[in-house]
Amino acid sequence: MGLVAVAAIVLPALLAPVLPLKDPDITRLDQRLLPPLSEGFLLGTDSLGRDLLSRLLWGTRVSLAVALLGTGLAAAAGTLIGLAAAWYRRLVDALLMRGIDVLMAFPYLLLALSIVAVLGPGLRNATLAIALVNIPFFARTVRGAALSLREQEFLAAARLSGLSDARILATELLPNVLPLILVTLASTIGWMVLETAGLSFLGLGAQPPQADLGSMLGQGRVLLATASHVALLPGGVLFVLVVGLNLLGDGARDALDPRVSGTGADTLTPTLSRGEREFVRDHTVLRVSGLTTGFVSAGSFLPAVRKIDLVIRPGESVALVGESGSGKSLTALSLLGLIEPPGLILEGSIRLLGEELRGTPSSRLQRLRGRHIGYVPQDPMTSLNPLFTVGEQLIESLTVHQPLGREEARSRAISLLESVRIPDASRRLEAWPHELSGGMRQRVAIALALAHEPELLIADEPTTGLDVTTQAQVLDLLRELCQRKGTALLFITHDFGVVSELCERVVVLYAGEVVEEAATEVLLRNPRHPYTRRLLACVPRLGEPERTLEAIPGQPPRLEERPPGCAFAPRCTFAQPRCQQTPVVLSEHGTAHHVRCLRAGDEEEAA
Amino acid sequence: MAAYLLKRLLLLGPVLLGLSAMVFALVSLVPGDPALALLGPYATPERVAELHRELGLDGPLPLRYATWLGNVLHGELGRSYSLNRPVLDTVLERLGPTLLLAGTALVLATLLGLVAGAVSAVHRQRWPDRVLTLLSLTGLSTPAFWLALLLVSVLAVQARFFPVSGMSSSHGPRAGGVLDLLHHLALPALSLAFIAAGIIARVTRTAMLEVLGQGYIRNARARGIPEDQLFYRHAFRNAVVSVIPVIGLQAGFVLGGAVYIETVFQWPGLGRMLVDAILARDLLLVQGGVLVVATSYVLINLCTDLLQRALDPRAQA
Amino acid sequence: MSDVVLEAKELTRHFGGGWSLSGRKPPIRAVEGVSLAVRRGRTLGVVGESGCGKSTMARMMVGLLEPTAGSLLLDGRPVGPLRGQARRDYHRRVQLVFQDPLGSLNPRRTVAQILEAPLVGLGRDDRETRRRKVERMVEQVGLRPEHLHRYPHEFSGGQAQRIVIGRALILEPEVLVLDEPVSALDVSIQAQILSLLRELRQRLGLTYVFISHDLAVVEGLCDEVAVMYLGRVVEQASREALFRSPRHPYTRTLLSAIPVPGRRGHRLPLLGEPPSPAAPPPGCAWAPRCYRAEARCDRDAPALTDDSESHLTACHFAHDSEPDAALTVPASASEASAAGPPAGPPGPPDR
Repeated sequence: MGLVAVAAIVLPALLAPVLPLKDPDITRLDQRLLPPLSEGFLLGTDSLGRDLLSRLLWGTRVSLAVALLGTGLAAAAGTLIGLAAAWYRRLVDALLMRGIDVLMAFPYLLLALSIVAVLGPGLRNATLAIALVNIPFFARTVRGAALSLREQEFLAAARLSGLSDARILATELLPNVLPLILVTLASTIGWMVLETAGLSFLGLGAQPPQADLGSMLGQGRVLLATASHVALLPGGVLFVLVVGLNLLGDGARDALDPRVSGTGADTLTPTLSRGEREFVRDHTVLRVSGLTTGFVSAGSFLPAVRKIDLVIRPGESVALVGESGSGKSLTALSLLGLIEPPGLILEGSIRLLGEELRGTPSSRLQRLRGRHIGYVPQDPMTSLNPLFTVGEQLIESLTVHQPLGREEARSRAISLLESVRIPDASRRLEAWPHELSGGMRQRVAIALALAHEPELLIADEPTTGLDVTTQAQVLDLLRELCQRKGTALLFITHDFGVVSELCERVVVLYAGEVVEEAATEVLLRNPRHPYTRRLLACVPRLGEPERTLEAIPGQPPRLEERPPGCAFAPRCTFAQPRCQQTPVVLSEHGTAHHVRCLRAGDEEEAA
Repeated sequence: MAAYLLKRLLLLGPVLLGLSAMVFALVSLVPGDPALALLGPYATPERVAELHRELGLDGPLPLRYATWLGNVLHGELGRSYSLNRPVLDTVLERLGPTLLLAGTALVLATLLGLVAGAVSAVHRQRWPDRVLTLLSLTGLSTPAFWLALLLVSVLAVQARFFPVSGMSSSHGPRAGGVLDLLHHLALPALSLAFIAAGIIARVTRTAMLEVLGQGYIRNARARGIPEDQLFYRHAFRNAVVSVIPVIGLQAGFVLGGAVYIETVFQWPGLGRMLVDAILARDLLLVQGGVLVVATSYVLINLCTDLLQRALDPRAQA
Repeated sequence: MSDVVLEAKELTRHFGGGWSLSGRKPPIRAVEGVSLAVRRGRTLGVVGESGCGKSTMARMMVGLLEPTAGSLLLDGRPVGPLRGQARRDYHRRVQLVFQDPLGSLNPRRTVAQILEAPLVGLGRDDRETRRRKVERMVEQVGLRPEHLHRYPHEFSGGQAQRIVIGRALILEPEVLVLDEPVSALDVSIQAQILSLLRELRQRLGLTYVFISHDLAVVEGLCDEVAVMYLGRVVEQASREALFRSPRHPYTRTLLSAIPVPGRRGHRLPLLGEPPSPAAPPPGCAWAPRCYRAEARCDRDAPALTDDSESHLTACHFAHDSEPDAALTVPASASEASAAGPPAGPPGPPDR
């Protein structure tokens, strides 16, 4: 759309010299101020009888040329200053940036006005002024990007490679800053058009008889009451041009900045069969069957969690083990009803305390979350809102599900903090999240999750970011609290060591499927699925330095390249042709030991 | 906080010094005889010679700067030749209307922008978002002076809802009163606010969406915090903190844009005075006006920095 | 000792510090007087938790950071300031493998360009020789020739780490400093990279400095191990000595805190939180969290002292005989016996 708008204005302007137009500067006093659609003057004439259409096109050329030149100058100078400041740092940086600060201490347009005041009115001076005024913007953007790139390890690597400074700047730094410069350029050029037009409007830019869109507007201003088209037409052209340029700039930014890409998945709302609520308790806290969750991409659905069944009984602690990309975190978020587009739960049933969660209205889900399911997230650094104190967040969580007075909520919050063994709890209520260490924040996260003593606690790699010693403390805490309060625990991890510290039963995920499930001791002693075996063999164990770690060859399959048969078959040393043909089902081998492997059955027969 | 304030005030010194140096350079670096530039083209040779002595114009540049700065600190900004009165008096007289116009516009823009941005983010990809996004794009693509002309032509000239120009009516039942002032203020403030509101709305929307994607929002949702509370208590507050510096920047745009608006509406402020002064090449008046506007801008930015700091506990560490 | 290739002598690095309005800020003492000797053909492990200074140490050893005090010796000769030709000469012999493989690869250069860069920097080989060396290296690190023209983001973490290793090795250095090379990887991929590192060490006769927080990985790869805590080495010994009979209470606690598949909760008690490196405790840095600490530990910092078998320990009790609770408790022992070792102080694990 932006392209259309820009093209509609830029193309005729570019073609102005070859189009059959009247001379824009010929004055015909007998044909002053003709309205649009007059004979021979499509858009009418101005106060000197000049053809408006022709003047508009020629004026656009001037405006565009000035804006492009100004932006180019500003970008070039700003990039040089920004790179120099970031690369040399210290004194160079300090001097350049203080200079930029002073420039930025002036309101934008005012600085341009002052420069024109000194140099005198005129198009060339106005261009220079606008360029100069925009240098700080480019310089700061480039410097910021270059500084953060400086911290990147690939620049350290380039220095280790013995490359010279000039070469590092040219081949390592500049190519990575360039897209940003282009985006900045694209999003600035609209402004530039506006600014130069503004100066001309005030009579400080283009001088008669030369005209750009701004000066035409300025001249038309006095005729507003009598012949408004003389002023409004150039303004309209200016507006459409700038809207177009800004749209193009946005497009360029979206294309180059993956963070703001919008997905079209929002429109694809699943039709949910609204499951009947069953209030019969079957002695499970959680019963998941046939859960399939994935991502909508380019109109098709890519499952990342495939038909998972999971049962957790009261007070039980179950581990969900898998490597990255196995779908373990997605499973946790599905259980909490926190899948957001482009993610989508395609099918399956999730029953919490007998109540079906799929198809439940979001207001009901919201009341269940926190009260019956608690959640401890992985990254303690981003788990708490940095603008609220620990106490505010605790009290908020407490009062959401039950009416509590101020004092009562406060004393409950203190006792919660004490229960996760945070010393000096009443003072810590006033603490901000950033004042706490990672281990402390994770304790607060646990306190938040357990505020209403939920029946089920889902912990998603809660100790992965922590040091071993802190991890040990947090694991002890989790185990003790769950035991004391009879909370069932679904513990998501990649670490078998942590599993045996904490969990009674293990579910192993590979490529979104449960490949093996058994009691922890059974699984560790006698893993039946080749993936589980090899995964266990990969883990370095303390006290067994001579044990050779047998790496699993290859990579897990990507979502879109999943093999038709057993997902592990391409990496499995025991794979046979039949493994690759049809999907393998999960079947029981031994008491409560489920394995998804054709060979497991064979072994049994042989025995 | 007190230590930070002290630090910021100390840092203000070099910035103001640099600023004054630039303003000084403005006049001193004009090609030709600065005295001629200051006195205007019709000055007598005697007067030029007198000024040379007065300002020490024959002395070295740093000395002249020091003399000038001393004068400025004593409130001595020279005499405008085009108006034939002290620069300081004129500038102070014009400062009030400009601050009134810019302040109203900024408050309006902030309110409109924050609300539009937040509503847009909450309803992302649905029609309120689409409409508001389009509006804010229009806002930042509209030439302020054109919008002003449009409003004048439609609402003032044709519909006669609002006065065409000026700050007060010379006659009529409400002449000179507060209501009269507001009546005159409405159109200029609105045209000035529209653009800044567009930018603030865009930034707010982006900031809200960024915050809504954060881990702590998901965790709050996992604790059963209702959606409204998530949006307006958690996300909005976090977004505002990152939008505040942008609002500070908008103060600059609004102060600059006032130049156009004051020209279109014949508003008796600094902006119009500056344009007139530039066209008359009355450099002392330009110098005085720029110095005052730039200083107020620096002070506004100091305030937004302090405000952001007060709202963000992380910055106080 | 002629077989020492690279030696760090009393290396110290402080960050920040200086005057501000509120008075003098204490510097972050990232590394404080650390000496390490790397023997030719051997692998020295440096272990510790986050903030112990091990990564700062790695960066100083490869010359990316200048030490605040202390010196580096290569082949017994002091390494001067690393600028110009001296820097290039040093980096021909000592190279670094980074922790985050994707972050250390320029996203806008192909694998071939990335691997070639050090050869270009060296400026000795012609284009054809460079191409041959790059192709050989790609094979050596277990990638295929068709990977040469792809960009880093097309690779998984494990493959990217192979590229990083290839780039570090292309100048045929003698010493490779590896800064947590496998901690960003999944276990199955981690095993692949570890076996590649073993194979390369043997084939090329490399010397490694292996920096990690994972004691199990270090035990599997290293000949000698230094344990760091809060910027200092607290214990250093051969692998066997360190893992069989650790002497420093920190090493013992650390070893007992690692969860091992099939073992459950036999830990030495752990107290409190790690202190800030800006305000280290006056005495022994570990004392506030130590189960054996006495009054003198809070007062006097113990020096790193050697015993006859070059087992260095910085602890007042290093040479006392202590009934070793944590590591001699059989795997089947009950929870109760893990509550505290005989020599430990009473009280819950958390204070």
